[in-house]
Amino acid sequence: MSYLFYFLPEIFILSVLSFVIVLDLFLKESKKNISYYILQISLIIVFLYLFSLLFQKNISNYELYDISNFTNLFKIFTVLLSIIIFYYSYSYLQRFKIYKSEYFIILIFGLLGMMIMVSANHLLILYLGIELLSLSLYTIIAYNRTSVRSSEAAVKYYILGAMSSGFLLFGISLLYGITGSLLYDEISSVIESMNFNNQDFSTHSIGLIFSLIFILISIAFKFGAAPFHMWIPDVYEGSLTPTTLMISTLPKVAIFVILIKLTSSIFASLEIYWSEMILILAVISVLIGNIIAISQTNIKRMLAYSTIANVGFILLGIYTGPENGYEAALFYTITYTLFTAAVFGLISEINIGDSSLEKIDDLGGLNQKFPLMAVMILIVMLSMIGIPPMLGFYAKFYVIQSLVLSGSTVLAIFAVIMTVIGSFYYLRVIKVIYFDDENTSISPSLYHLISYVFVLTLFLLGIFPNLLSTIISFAIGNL
Amino acid sequence: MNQISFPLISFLIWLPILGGVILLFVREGYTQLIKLISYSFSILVLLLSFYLLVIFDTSSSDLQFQEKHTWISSLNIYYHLAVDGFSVVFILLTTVISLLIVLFSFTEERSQNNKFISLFLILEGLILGVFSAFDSILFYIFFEAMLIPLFLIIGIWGGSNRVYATIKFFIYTLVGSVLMLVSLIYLSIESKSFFIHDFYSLKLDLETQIYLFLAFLFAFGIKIPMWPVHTWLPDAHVQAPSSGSVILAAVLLKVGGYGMIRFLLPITPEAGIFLNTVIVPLSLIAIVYISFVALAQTDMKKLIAYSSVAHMGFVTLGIFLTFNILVPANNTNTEMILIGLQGSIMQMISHGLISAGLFMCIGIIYSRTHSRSIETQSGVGQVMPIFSALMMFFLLSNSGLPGTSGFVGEFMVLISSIEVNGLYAVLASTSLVLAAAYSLWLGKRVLFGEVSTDTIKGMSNLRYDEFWCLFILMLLVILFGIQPNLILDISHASSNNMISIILNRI
Repeated sequence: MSYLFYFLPEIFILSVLSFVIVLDLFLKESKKNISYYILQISLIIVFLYLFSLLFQKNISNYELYDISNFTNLFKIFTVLLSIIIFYYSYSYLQRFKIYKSEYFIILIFGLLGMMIMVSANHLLILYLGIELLSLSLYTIIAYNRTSVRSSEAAVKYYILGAMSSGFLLFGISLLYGITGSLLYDEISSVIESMNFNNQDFSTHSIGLIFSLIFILISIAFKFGAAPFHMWIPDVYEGSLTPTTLMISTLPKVAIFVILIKLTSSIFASLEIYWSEMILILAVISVLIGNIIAISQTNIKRMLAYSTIANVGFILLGIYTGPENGYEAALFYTITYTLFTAAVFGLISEINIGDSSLEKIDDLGGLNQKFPLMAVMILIVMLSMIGIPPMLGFYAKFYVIQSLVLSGSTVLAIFAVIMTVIGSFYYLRVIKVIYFDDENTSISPSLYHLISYVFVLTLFLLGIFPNLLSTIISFAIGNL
Repeated sequence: MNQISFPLISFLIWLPILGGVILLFVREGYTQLIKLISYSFSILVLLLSFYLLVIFDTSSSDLQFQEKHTWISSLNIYYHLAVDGFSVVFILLTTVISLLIVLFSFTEERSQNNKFISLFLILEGLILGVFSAFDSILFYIFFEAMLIPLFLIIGIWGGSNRVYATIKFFIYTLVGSVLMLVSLIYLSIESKSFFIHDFYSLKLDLETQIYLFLAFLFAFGIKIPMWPVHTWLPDAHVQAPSSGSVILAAVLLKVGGYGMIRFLLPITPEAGIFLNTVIVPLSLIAIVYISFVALAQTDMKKLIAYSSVAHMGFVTLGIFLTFNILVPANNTNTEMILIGLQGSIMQMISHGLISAGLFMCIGIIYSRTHSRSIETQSGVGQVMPIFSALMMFFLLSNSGLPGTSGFVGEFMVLISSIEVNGLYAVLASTSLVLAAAYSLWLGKRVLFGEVSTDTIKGMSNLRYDEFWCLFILMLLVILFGIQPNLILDISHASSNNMISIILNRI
């Protein structure tokens, strides 16, 4: 029973969810937003509880379920970001009068899935978590059911996602067949005892590499790494902006954590194999993402390709290995997530006439009418290019440093050149905002104090990056 | 070591940035308040920099007024500021020019004036940061951050083709600097520190040095700019508002020269010696070929922009001659290295003052006629005599008239080049003729002759603030022309020290 104490956040969230689902049936149409407030408050409670856990010294590990400071920090981060995402989603849905409590209920299911998959120490639990997340994503993409694009995106994502889950299951079953276990620790010790370094290709080792490939493909798909990226632009474009905000941030962090957990435990002794695979994924992603983004006119599609490029950078960090690469990759992931959240948040708050922002050119002359909003987008875009003193610079710096440290200076040069190519499409957004003629139909929503506070915090984090880097080092130290 | 508790350099950097941020929150309409804030901050910074000069010990080549605090502990990056002789010279140039730019910016009408001035103040702070950062990553951060204000200045207040020009400027500079970032990271891994002076004692083999050399050359060569990566400069100048051109030509280009002295010379001397037959001709091409290009221009700003590239050719020549002199076959004459290096610094300061004057002159003409064409305007001298005298003065000093600062730097570099190779000296000295040709011809066509159009006839006379901007610059040009030691003494000890570092490394 004492174990239950550690699952408290998950159990609490699930209970609140069940309660809200029932409660919502009895609420009048005009009072449905009570559900939103209840969920938001419960998130804040979970956040505070998780935060208090951080200062407890002796956290023991339950065999199936990993409750270390590392996962704890991850959960704090996701819950915090969820609170922000909830705020943006709520204000967006209210503005367009398409509010339904189910939206938030599904979001929380996704959050629960992420918490489970990150804590999983057992491959089936991991699978359950991933499926819970994926199913809620399929649903939430289709939320805007009157839109053809939205339905298309949902179906596309669903079919491809189901396939990738199949890949994952296949990989898991191969692993189980070879090692006879589903627990991370046991699998990893079995593989280690196989003594892989002598290049002895027995049947087992080929099976192991197959399972590695299958699992990696599945993860690359969920992560959005090229060449498994086809769903990203369509899904980003087809979903509501707050949905895109959610899809482009939280799952990336969760998948990233899975990736480093798997590569540092189960597949630790297979590093020579996975590092090459990850390198290929990384290089293709950076290339495809940066180059195709240049020709995009829809801001969400552009950011979709920028996501692919950023995923490539994260993978480059992972490629350089556990010693300094994981820290770099984690720093990059967190930075990417924060700034993507900021940019989609800002986009979701800008109306063009009666609809939400789609085309980059619609932002024309934002600076003349709403200078503060323009500065916020400027900061976010400069950070995404990686111009100091924005946080994005340190993220790129970390990755490039880890590349040089591991001796792949050529890759470092490749990375910085792609940064320059990538700068072009971010600059175009700045150009449209600052240098173009005014588009008179822009009307930001009235309340964007949260955006300002959020972006300002990110800016200050860029001037004092020590804070974030200390937390990251602490997190990686507790992996 | 001169350790004081008052963080003088931090104040120098952050005061203008603070002023800029305050200005952002002032309403556009309150011109008096904007003036008050911007004047007081830039004068305060200027006074601080004078104070720095007064208490700076010119006889020492040590880092002075050091401030060192941990900034990013996990990356071993420090907030490390200090000054040596090179820094002080450029810091003074920056603060003087910045004050004049603020003064000059109020002579023109424009929308969002508060943001315009604010960006200039922020830019001033960042440039001062570049000149005083001694942690290489801090240097890089200031170096890159400098792009943002100028990018916006050209893009928002520039001419009709501003977007093309400003994006070209941004991407060009970014390409160069990211390669430098990789080099800095490489060096830091080798030396286990980001402190620039720690790089000086690294043992690097020739191949590594060549890669590093090329990366630094690319970064600073684009910034300064060298032929053939100079093409962003004419575009940026033509499209930039006058004040933007002034700061670009007078101060920003010097960052490239400063970077070469700070990184290229002491870190990779062997690569420089190895490549000296390639890089010295690049400077000569810049001097000779670009001077011819300048002759052919029909746009006043473009002409001065190309003349800037040609003059910067002298700077790079002076710096790269070091390598040439150090070639083992030649008998090393350290005196000549010193003259070349000091000549480069003198040339940079002098060009900073003269080009600032010229771009202001063109701005003054443009604000009245809204044209920069050389062909269609003439006879400005008849309408604005005082202005024409001043502009003629700057044109003459641009062509290296003895008695002005323009002469000193070029002369020193020429002396150094005669020592190395007679051909270099002959080629470089043709520039004195060519510079005179394009400068005087510009003066002849625009200032003299009959009044060509009614717009020129109706030009209003020079205003007081415009006059003072030009007059102060003229005084400085004459002062440094007669007494160049005022500059040279400041950087003398540091130059000597730099040469001994280089000699130790080869």
